[in-house]
Amino acid sequence: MSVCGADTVKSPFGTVWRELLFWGRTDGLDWIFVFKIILAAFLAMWISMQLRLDQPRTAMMTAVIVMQQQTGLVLVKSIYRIGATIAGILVGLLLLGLFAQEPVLYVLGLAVWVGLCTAGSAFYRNFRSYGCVLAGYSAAMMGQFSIPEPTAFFSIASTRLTEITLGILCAGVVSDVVFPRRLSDAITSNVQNRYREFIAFIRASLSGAAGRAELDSMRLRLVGNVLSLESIRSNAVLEDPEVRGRDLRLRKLNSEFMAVTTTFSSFQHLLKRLTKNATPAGLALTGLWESFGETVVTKGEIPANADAAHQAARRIAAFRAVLGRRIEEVRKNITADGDPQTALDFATAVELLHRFLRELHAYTQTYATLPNAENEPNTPDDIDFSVRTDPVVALLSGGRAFVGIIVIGWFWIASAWPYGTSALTFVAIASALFASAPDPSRNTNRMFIGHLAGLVAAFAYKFLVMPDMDGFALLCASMLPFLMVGLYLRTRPGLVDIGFGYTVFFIQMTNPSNTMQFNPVDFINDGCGVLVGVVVAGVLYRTLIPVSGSWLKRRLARQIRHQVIMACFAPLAGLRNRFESGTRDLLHKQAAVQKIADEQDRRLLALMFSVVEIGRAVIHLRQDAGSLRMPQPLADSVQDVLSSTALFFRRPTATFHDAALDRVTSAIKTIRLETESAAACACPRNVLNRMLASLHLIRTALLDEDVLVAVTADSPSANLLGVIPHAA
Amino acid sequence: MPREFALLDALVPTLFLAFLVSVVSHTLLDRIMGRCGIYRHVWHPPLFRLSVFVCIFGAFGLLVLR
Repeated sequence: MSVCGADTVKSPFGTVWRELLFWGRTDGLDWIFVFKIILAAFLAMWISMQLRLDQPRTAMMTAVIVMQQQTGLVLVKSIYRIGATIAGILVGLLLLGLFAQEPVLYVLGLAVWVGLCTAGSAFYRNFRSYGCVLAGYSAAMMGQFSIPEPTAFFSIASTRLTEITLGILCAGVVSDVVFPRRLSDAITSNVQNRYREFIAFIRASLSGAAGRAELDSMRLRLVGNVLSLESIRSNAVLEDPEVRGRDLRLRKLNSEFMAVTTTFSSFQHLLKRLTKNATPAGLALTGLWESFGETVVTKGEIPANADAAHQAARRIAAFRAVLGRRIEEVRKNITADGDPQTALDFATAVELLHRFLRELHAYTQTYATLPNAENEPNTPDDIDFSVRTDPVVALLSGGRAFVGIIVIGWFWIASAWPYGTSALTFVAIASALFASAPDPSRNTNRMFIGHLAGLVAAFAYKFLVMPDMDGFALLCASMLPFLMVGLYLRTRPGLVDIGFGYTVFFIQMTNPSNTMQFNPVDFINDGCGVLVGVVVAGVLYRTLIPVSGSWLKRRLARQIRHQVIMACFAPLAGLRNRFESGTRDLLHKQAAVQKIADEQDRRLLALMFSVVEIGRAVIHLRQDAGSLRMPQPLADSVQDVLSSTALFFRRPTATFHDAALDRVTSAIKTIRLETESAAACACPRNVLNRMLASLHLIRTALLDEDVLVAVTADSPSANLLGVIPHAA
Repeated sequence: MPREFALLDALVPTLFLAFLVSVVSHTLLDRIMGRCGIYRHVWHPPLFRLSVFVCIFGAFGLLVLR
C-alpha cells in the first residue's frame, strides 16, 4: 500500500463529504424545511382524525400556511392567525344571523367587511397585514360552509377554530423542536450581508466600474435590507429573550446605517458634481477619497464577524486621525487661487467626508459589539422606525376587493350557481392576500397556475390513488410525494405563489377525513368555482387602478416630496430617524420587488435619494441653528430658507425654485459676512461652518439637473430644465 | 372534578382549563429558568421546554381526571 494509493482512496470521500456539506448548507436546509412542514401537517391530520373532527384538512392547511423557516415567525403568525380567525368568525356569525335568508344583503355586508379588511391589509405591514387578510376571508369562508345549512353555523365555527388551533400547535411544536432555526441567526446573517453589501457598494461607486443601473439596484437592495431587518427585529422579540436584550442595539444599528448611507450618497453626489467640470476641489477630493479606499475598504477582507469589525473600526479611526493633516495640505493648494466658490465646495465636501467617517466608525462599532450579551447603558434618543402608508391607496385596494365580491355575488345570486360560495371565498382571499404586493396581477397569475396544478394533482390522487390506500400510514405515504413537490416549489424564491397555491389547494380538494366522500362531479364544479374566483380577482387587479399605473406613482412622488416639508417644519426631537425611515419605507412599498421597471421607477429612486439628501441637510441646518443664539438677520434668513425650500417641494415650479435658490444664496452670504466681519457674534465658528456646509449642500442639490428632473418630473407644471442655465 | 363544565351554556372540557393553567405556569417557569441561565446547560432547549410543558400539563391533567 502506497501513500499515493491511500490518497486516491481518501480524496473521493473527501470530495463527496465536502459536496454533501455544501448541499446541506444550501439545498439541504430547504429540504429539512419541506419535511418539517409535512411532519406538522401529518401530525395535525392524525390528531384531528383521532379527535373525530369534521375537517382534518383545515388543521393540515393551517400547519402548512403557518409554517415558516424560523420559529419566531411561526409564533407571531400563529397569534395573528388565531386572533384574526376569531374576528372573522364573529363577523361571519353576525352576517349569517342577520341576513341568512337575504343573499343580496349578505353579499353586500360581506363585501363591506372584506373591503375594510383589505384596506387594512394594504395599510399595515407584515403580519398585521396578514391578520387583516385573514379576518376578511374567514368571514367569507364561514359563509361558504354555512350557507347550505345555516343552523349548523355554531358547530362549524367551533370546529374550525379547534382545527386551526390544532394546526398552529403542531406547526409551532415541530418548528421549535425539529431542527429549529432561530430568528437571531437570521438577524446575524442579515447584518453581515448588509455590511458586505454596503462595502461592496462603496467599492463599486469608488472604482467607477459599475454602471448606473447596477448602482441603482444596489441602492435599492440596501433600502430593502433596512426594512427587512426592521421586520425581523420586530418579530424576533416574541421568540428569543436574547434578541429582546439586543433590541435597542439593533434599532440603533438600523438608524446608524440609514445615516451613513445618506451621508455617503450626499458625498458621492457632491463629488460627482465637482468632478464633472474638473474643478480643483474635485481633483483634490478624489485623491483623498481614493486614499480612504486604499486604507479601509480594499485592504484585506470585508469584516464578516465581530473581531474583523473591531479591526475595521480601528482602521477607520486611524484614517480619521491622519485625515485632518492631509486635508490641511490639500487645502493650501485649493485656497491659493482664492475662488470663494471652490473653497466652499471643498469645505462642504470635507465636512461630509468627516461626517461619513464618523458615522461609518460608529456603525462599524455597533456592528462589532452586536454579539455581546449585555445591554447598552446609554439609551440614544428616539430611534423608532416610522412607517408611511398612503391611506388613499389602501382604501382603493379595499374598494377593489369590494367590487370583486359584488361582481361574483351578483353572478352567484343571478345564476343560482350552487358553487358560487367557493368563488366568493376565493375572490376574497386573492384580492386581500395580494393587496399590498408590489405586483398583484403577477401573484394572482401564479396562484391560478398553482391552483390549477393542485386541482389536477388532487383529482388524480383522490380518484386513482386514494381508494386503494388502507390505513393512516399508507395514506401519508401516498400523499407524501404530492406534497413534497408543492412544498419544494414554495422554498424557491420565484415560485412561492405557485407552490403555495398548489399545496393548499391539493389539501383542500383531497379533503382527507375519517369518512371519505368520492364525488367527481362535485369535485370539478367546486374546483372551477375557486378558479373563477381567482381569475376575477386577477382581472380586477389588472383593470381597476392597477398598482403599476402612473397615477399611483405620481401620488407616491408627491408623498416623497412631502417628506422634505416634514423635515422643514416637524418638531426636531428624533426627526432625523423618523424622516429617513419614513422616506425609505415609502420607496420600499413601491419597489419591494427590488427591480427598476421603467424610467418612472428610476426617477422615483433618484427623487428619493435627492429628497433624503436635501431633507437631511435641512435637518442638520435646523439642529445647528437651534443650538446657537443667532443674530436676528441670520435667524431670519435661515427661516426663509426653510419656508422657501418647503414651498418648492410642495409646488415644484420655476418661480418657487428660483425663490428657494435665492434664499439659500443670500443665507450663505449672511453667514459669510457674519464669520468674516471683525465684530462677529459669539457663535462658535465650527457650528457656523457646519451650517454653511448644509446650506451649500442644499444649494448644489437645488442646482443639480438630476435632482431637478426628479423633483419636477411628476408635477403638473412644466419641466424646469430650461431654468437651469440662468440659475447656474 | 367534573370532566366538563358549562360556560355560557356551552360545554367546555375541564382539561381545557388545565391547559390554560399549565400554559401560564409554564410561561412563569420558563422566564425563571431563562433568567437563571439553565437553558445554557441543556442540549436541546426547545425540546427541554416542550418536555417540561408536557410534564406540567400531564400533572394537571391527572389531577383533573383522576
